[in-house]
Order: sequence, then C-alpha cells, then structure tokens
Amino acid sequence: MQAPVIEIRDLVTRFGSHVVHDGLSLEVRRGEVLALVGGSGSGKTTLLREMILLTRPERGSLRLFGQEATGLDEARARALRRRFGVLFQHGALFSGLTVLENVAWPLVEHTRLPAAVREEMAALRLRMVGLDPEAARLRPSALSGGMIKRAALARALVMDPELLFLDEPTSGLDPASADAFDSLLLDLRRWLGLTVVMITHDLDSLWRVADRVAVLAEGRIVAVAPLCELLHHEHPAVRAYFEGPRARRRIGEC
Amino acid sequence: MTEQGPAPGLERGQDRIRFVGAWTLAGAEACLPELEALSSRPGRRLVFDLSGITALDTTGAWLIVRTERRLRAQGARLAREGVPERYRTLFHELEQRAPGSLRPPPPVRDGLLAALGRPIVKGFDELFAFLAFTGEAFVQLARLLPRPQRIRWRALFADMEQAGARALGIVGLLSFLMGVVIAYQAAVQLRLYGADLYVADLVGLSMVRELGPLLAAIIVAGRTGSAYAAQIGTMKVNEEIDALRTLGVSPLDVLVVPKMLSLAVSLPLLAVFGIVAGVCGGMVMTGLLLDLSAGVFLDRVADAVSLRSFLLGVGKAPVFALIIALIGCFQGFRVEGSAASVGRHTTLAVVQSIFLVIVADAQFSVFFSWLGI
Repeated sequence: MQAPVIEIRDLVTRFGSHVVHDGLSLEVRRGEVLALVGGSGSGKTTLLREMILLTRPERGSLRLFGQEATGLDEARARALRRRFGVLFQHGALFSGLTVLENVAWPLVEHTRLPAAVREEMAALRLRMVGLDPEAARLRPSALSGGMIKRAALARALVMDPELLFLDEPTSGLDPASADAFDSLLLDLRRWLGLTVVMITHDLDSLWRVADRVAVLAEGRIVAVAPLCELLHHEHPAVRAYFEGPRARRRIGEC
Repeated sequence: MTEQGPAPGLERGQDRIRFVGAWTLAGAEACLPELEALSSRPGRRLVFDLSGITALDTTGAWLIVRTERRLRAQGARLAREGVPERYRTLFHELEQRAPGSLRPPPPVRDGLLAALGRPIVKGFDELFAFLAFTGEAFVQLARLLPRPQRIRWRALFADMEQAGARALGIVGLLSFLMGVVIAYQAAVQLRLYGADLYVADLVGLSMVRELGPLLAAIIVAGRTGSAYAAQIGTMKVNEEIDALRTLGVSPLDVLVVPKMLSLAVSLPLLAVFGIVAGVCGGMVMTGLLLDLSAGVFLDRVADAVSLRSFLLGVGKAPVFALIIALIGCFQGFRVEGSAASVGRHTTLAVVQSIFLVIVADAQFSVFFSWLGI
C-alpha cells in the first residue's frame, strides 16, 4: 500500500469565533478521484484552500506527498505547489493574456524552456482538453463558460502535476459540456495517472467520476466511501445530502 | 512534475538511441539540446529504445514524439521499442490528439498602412463615441431636470462628499503652496522695481483667474475622474451595467447624471476654497519676504480682483467638472472584459481629462482676450 498523497489529521480551522473545521481527518490515496461534498458553508472551499496552501489551518497536520505542509517556508511551499494543479471555480484565467499565454504562463515562470517549446507544450495541453486551436489566440473574455473551464484545466495540467484540485468543475456548464468534462477527467486520469480531489455538487459527476466521496458536515468528514455505500449511510448529514429524489434515483443503479 | 528520478539522458549507439532516466518536465531543459542535436539522413534506420525510462510525463513523451517527427521529416525510418506498458496509452493519446504540428497559427500582423491607419480610425471612433456619449448624457440630464424627484439625490450627495468635501485638504494644501511659490517669484522680480505692493495683485489675480480653478480641476481629475472610470469599468466587467439595463434602469441615470451634477457643484466650491488658500499662501510668503502686512496685502487683493474676474475664473470650474465627469464615466463604459482593461481606461480617463481641461482653459483665455475681458 502506497503512502497517501494527502493526509490530514485533526485539522482545526477557525474564523474568529466561527469554527469551520473541528478535528477533521482525511486521506486521499494515490491515483483515486476523491469528491468532497457538503452543504453550503460546510467548509469545503476552506478545506480546499488549506490543501493548496492558500489558507493556514489553526491546528492539526496536513501532509502532501508524505511531507508536512503546514508552516512551510515560502521556498518549500513553492516547490510543493509545483507538484499540484488547481482549477478554480470560475477558471481564474488571467484576463490580460490570451488563452495560449495563460496556459504557457507557469512554464514561463518555472522553467527555462525556449519560447517555441513552451508554446508547443501549451498547445498540446489545449488539444488534450479538447479546445480548438483557433481559441488559443483569444482572450478569456471571448470564451464561453465551458471553454474557460477547459482552458483553466489546461493551465492546471501544464506543469504535469501528480495531483489535481478541482473546485466545482462542472458547475455552470450545460449537461452536454458537463458530461464531456467528466469524460475528459477520466481520460486524463487514465493517461497521466492523476490523483484528483474535487468539490462538486453535480450528482452525475459524482456518479461517473468519483471513486470515493467524502461528506463534510459539522466541521468533520462524517463519511468517506464509494457513492453506493453512502446512499445507505446512517449519518443524518449524509442522509440529508442524498435524501432527495435526484440521489434516490441512483440507488437502483448500485 | 512527477517524482524525481535519475536525470534523463540518451545513450547513442549506431542505429539505436536508448532513452534512460526520468523524462519529466523537471529534466526537460537539460535534455532538450541533446534531442535537438539529433539529426538523420534520408533512408537511415533508427530505433528509439525507451526501455530505460524510469518516469515519463506528458512533457517528456511530447519531447520524444516531436523528435521522432522531426527525424522522420528528414527521411529517417524510425521505430519505437521497449515502451513500458504503463506509458503506452500516453503515447497513443499524444499521437491521436496532436497529429500535426502544434504550432498555433501566428497572430496576424498589420502591414505598414494598416499599422498607421488602425490607430487613426480607432481615435476617430473614440472621438465619435465620446461625442455620442456626451450627447446622450446631456439628453438624459435635460430629461431629469424638470423631474427632480427622479434624480438620485442620495448618490449625488454621497458623491459630493467623496469628490468634494474629502478633497478639501489636498486642494487647500496644494493651492496654499502654489500661492507661496508665486509670491516668492513675484517678490524677487517686483522688488527690483520697487513694486512690492503688486505682489498681492499678481498672486490674487493669477489664483482667481487661472490657478485656483485649474489646480482644483487637475486634482479632482486625478482623484475622482479615475475613481469614476474604475468604478464603472469594474461594474461593467461584473456585468452590473447589463443588470441595470435589464432591470429597466438607465446606467446614465444612476451613474453618470449624479456624478455630472455633483462635480459641477463641488468643483467650483473647491476652486473657491483653493483660491482662498492660495491667497493665504501668497500672504504668508509676502509677509516673510517683504515688509508687507497681512491687512495691506488683503486690501490690495480686494482692489485688484474684481467681481468680474472672480466670476470668470470660478465660472470655468463647472465646465472643467463636466469634462472630468464625462471623460471618467465614458472611459469606464469603454472597459472591456479584463482587469487590465480597467487599469488602461482609468489611466486614459486621467490623462484625457487633464489634457482636455488644459485645452479648455486655453480656449477660455483666447475667447476672453477676444472679447477683451
């Protein structure tokens, strides 16, 4: 059994007097797709921000790739950040750059590859996420929502990360685009052996892509299991989440 | 960035090139020159032996694939051997997804004529757009004035506080200093002719006729015109402007008209305040340099500055105010899409409004001298 890619122990996060995480523990295994679900305000995004080293937890341990990641100095944090990619909810493409420049940007910052090779690398990622080469010269403001997500995914992939964080990758996409995005994710995992942590509310996406689902409630992970098992889980928060008719419909498929 | 391994390298045999080590992004810089140095002649048989690879990511795989393609284009007959099982899909997908060259089409560059013509056409476009915007704003203003209950008074007063009251400090200080500077220069020159007393005339008239309103306008353009452009520009990026339109509210009503009115009132008041501060500055400096008491100085200023001069001076301020408000709002509405665009148009708003304020001031001078007042 390989060491987990992410290992969180007894994490505590507080904003003022508001306790977000209260002794949260979670493990993410190498090569799996772990979905993080939970009601609004349950601290999913905060947890994600802690995992990508943007927010510091108050207490507890967070290990990335087997290395303690809390309280790192800037140089070590930077080295660690190079090993994962992040897709933000709204893409967060740099609006002043073209799509191609956006995707090539991490290479410009972190490597000394010649410009022609960098452009090829960026263009390759755009092909991999299925974006038209014509879109490469456009600015993000000229793209549709689905194209922005794809371009942002290409940027997240350009450094060949081992670990990918996705914040609501299919939100705001039409069903066809969301399906395509799910397939893309599965393909990428197959080719690149990625480990993926994603926040999502999209049940179809949970169903198709996630190996395991972690339910966040009351400041902890109350359950981590494959979706089918969760549908029969006893915890009230899990039941509340999967009680609705949308989720019930899936039971028959388990 | 996959796990680190031994550095990537090539073992070159007769017809066989063995790839060893970790072919990942981390080592790409190091092995790129070696790959680029490979060349072939037509008909040569070559084998790429990948069995020695310990790690491979998309970057490494692509470097290998593009080298193969380059050598094939030179006529080599190339085969790939010993690909570790777990990397087969990656190679397969790369070849599927990126069949041809990846070089995206280069951006279209303008010829000389186009490069010359485009900015000119753009300039005229902007000019016409500004004229249209100004016209629209005044039509909207004219529509609202007979129905004052529909003017957004709250926004107007909030803006007057922000643009007017809060600028008092900086306008007062700078005008005071300007008064000091003018008094000093005037005193040095006029003392030579024994015309000490006329320092007061000079300070008073130049502050009232020119510097008071102009200084206030320049400060407000930098402080408030930029804020208008940035505010409206950011609202445009966030689609708030579209939301207003959809809700059946004219953005001009909500955003532009209150700003025009508030500046048209605040700027003349600021100008008066600046004039007073400037005269004070002149008075203090004259008191220090020449033997001229404050009372005498102020008497002299009161004699020199007629009501007409005062009105002509301060009367320019509302015009400056409209220029600043219109340019600021106009540039805000010109913002498109990106954060960089907000920055660009904010800069443009300040530069253009200061430019136009000074041009307008010069026109006033020509006009007044023509009228002989």
